[in-house]
Amino acid sequence: MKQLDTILPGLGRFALATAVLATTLTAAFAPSSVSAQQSWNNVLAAAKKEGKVVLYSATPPSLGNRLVAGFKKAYPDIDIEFTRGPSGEILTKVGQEQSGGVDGADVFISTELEWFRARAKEGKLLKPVGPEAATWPAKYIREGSVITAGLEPLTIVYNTKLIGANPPTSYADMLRPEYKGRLGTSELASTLLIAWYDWLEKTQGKDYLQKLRAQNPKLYNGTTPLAQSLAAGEIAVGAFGNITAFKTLMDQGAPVKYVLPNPGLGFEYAMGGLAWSRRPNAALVLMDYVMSKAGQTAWSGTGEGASPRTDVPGAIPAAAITAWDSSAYPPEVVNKYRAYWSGIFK
Amino acid sequence: MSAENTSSKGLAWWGAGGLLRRQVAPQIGWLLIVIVVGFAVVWPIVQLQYRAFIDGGSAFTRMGELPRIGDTVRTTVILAFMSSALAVLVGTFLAWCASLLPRRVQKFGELAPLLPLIVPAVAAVTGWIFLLSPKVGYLNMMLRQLPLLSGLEEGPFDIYTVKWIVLITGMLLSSFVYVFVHTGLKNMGQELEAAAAACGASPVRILFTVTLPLLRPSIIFAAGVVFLLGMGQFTAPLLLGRTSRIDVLTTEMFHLTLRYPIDYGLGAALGFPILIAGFIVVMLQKLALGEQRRYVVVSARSKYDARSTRWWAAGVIGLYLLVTTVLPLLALTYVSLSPFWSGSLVMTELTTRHWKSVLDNPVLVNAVWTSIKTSVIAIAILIPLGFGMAFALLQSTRIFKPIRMAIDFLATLPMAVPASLMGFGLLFAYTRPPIQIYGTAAVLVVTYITLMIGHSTRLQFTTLVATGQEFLEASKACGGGALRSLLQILLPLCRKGIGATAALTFVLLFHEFSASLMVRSARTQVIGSVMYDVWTGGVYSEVAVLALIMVLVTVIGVMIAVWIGGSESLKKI
Repeated sequence: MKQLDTILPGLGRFALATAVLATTLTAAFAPSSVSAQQSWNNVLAAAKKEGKVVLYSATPPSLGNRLVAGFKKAYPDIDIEFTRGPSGEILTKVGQEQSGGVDGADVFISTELEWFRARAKEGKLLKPVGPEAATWPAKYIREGSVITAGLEPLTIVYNTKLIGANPPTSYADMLRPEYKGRLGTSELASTLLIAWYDWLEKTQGKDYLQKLRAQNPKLYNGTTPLAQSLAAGEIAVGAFGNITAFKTLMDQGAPVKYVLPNPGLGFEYAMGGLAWSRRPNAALVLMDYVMSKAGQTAWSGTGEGASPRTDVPGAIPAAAITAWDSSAYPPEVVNKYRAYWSGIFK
Repeated sequence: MSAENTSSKGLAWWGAGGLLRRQVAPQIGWLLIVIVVGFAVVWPIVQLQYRAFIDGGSAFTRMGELPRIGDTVRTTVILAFMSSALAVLVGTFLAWCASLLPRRVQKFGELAPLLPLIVPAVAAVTGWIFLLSPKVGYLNMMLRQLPLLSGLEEGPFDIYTVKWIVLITGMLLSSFVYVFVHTGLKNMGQELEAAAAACGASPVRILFTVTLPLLRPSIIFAAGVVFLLGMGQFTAPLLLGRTSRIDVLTTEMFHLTLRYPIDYGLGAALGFPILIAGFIVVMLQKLALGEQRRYVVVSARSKYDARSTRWWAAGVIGLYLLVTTVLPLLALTYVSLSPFWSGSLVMTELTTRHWKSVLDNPVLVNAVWTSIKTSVIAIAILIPLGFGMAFALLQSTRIFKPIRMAIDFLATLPMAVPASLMGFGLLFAYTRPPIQIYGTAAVLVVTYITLMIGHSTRLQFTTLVATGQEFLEASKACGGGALRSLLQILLPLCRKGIGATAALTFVLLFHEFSASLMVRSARTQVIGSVMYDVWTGGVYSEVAVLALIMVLVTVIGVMIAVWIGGSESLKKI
């Protein structure tokens, strides 16, 4: 078993080295466009041989399912396995897999941008080599391998049956007396939440979180369970939400609406191919699909978010979203803020 | 000459009467079991607890710095004491009611309080949320239709409170108390009760002055069991407490597994008080069991049935069944067929979409299969291993006393350590060398074996004791060797008991939630863990579908158990 565990990552590295070598050699000895196409064909052939790709993603289920369906259609020869979870939880699983040499994720999508940047600096992320990477806006590729796969604004959400004529429009409205005990917000399920609470204090006043706590909000583990409770009517208003988590419920007739507060904050989903992956070529193919027009249309063509691409019909313009600055939240800041927040909300 | 010498030496040391073969070899076999099971059971706990005490016990300092740790410890203690007290009250009352059942409904009525065990805790709690969520719980909404409560906008009950976590845990545990007390009542002669009745005592007076004092050992033993279960309770606080900031020590431990890198030292420190309390309870139980043997007053089972019967007793049991089983299952069924959990009862909107979605989702279907496969593999190892350990515990087995004591200890330890704590220890032990099996199905199999080895040993020990030694001795007297006696005499005699043990262990493993949630990886999931994932990140209607699948598979498992071992096997759950 142990031997197998040692050999398999070795095989993965060998496959990766082969793919990279093929790319480099072809680039060196052939005209560039032809060589790029040839090397990508090599990656595609190797991915087909690998036969499967494993995606871990913090995106809400509906978005993940759309990506999976689109990938299956585009690459019927490559199986795709999709695991969803809150950013923080799924990051723990990826970390355990890396340290334990466990066969797990090939591609990881999460809001934990700084984790991706740190891994990229260590050389632990695959460099995207597909045709889409060549035209992807430079602003949305960090450290050469961290891809911004989508952007979303954070929203306020409410149950239309429970909130009548005067719905909330801003974070200040969360403190309305009539929302006491009827409000939901999120635990610190990811660094994004830390940035959001920090941003609220900076824009709404230093005592805002204390006042929010006094409203006795229910705490959910991220936006997806909050969406379910809001649709059911357990809570009337959700202070933290993103459109993707609510769109499916709205489409199914749930009495839920969202508003974009002003000022508001947005966030990015980062995507990276994991260098310790057992299926590096399939990982590259999946990343390329997500960056393609088809992949981006599946991601944000429903109007749930923005795309770094400019040719995605129905998507929110990326320029309209002010994403949080992840570099302001290194681990020591995160740990300190976690303790501070727990002191207020726990 | 030389050949003769060799031959006689061979006879003395090996051969049919050889010392090594008759005395030493079997002891090596037992020792091997002690080493292997000892490694599986003790190693994770020792490894983990070591982490709590290194660095000058800094983990305990970190534990002290956790927000609201005082509340967390207090809730853990309240939950353990109050839920076990409630379980003992309800379970004993149910057993008394069962003893008063009219003959026409006696058979079903005696089994009815066990039916809640068919619904896994995680499914039952989910069903209760759909019923008693303060604003949109179906039961709450119906109660608000009553004239006295019509002015309320929510409630009257709020399931997301410590009070309801205690109530639901107590109700879940009451079936366990019922098993012990009902068995005690059945085995108790009724002469003293009859004498009290003849002297004019009412049934209630007989209950308090005669029946309950006689049942004291059974009740104390049951109280110990449910106290251990209450202290390690994980499912209800996890699902009900999270949104309302209610934590117990086990849920704090679980939250640690969600943050990378995992602070195992802190988890060990959180688990330490549970571990100590577990040891104390098990030791007290052992003492109480000793007392029970000395203090039995009426031990012979009498055929004289003196108790008068009461129809209201059937009503009480019926109400218990309705509240604990029927209502949560109805709520789960309705939500599984609803477009989304909406708190409204509109039959025209019902859909099978979520059933289709679950059955079409390879991750969910794989989790069901992984549950079944890992459970079956674990049982294939647990049954022979438990049989061997049970055989070692028999007084008639020739075994070196310290080895027997070690086996007894290893069969007891998993029962003293809550599954969630054991799961946390196993996660630590198997994510690093020498046995790095995290991320594979093997870690689930090892976890299940570790959790269930005590259970498997005790159940098969009961079977072996009931079988008696006479046939085995007769076989040996007729010249049958140990292996032949085992294969041709003992195993066929125990077949029914072993079969029932296997089926019941399957049910328990299929219900397993706490430890599975700790050791699962993203790709190696069982039904309980994916159900939690869907709960926290998916659609509630799909949670209801998964809960019902758990119940359906359990019913099949129980039916197989009853088919193999008769209706008595249900009580062994």
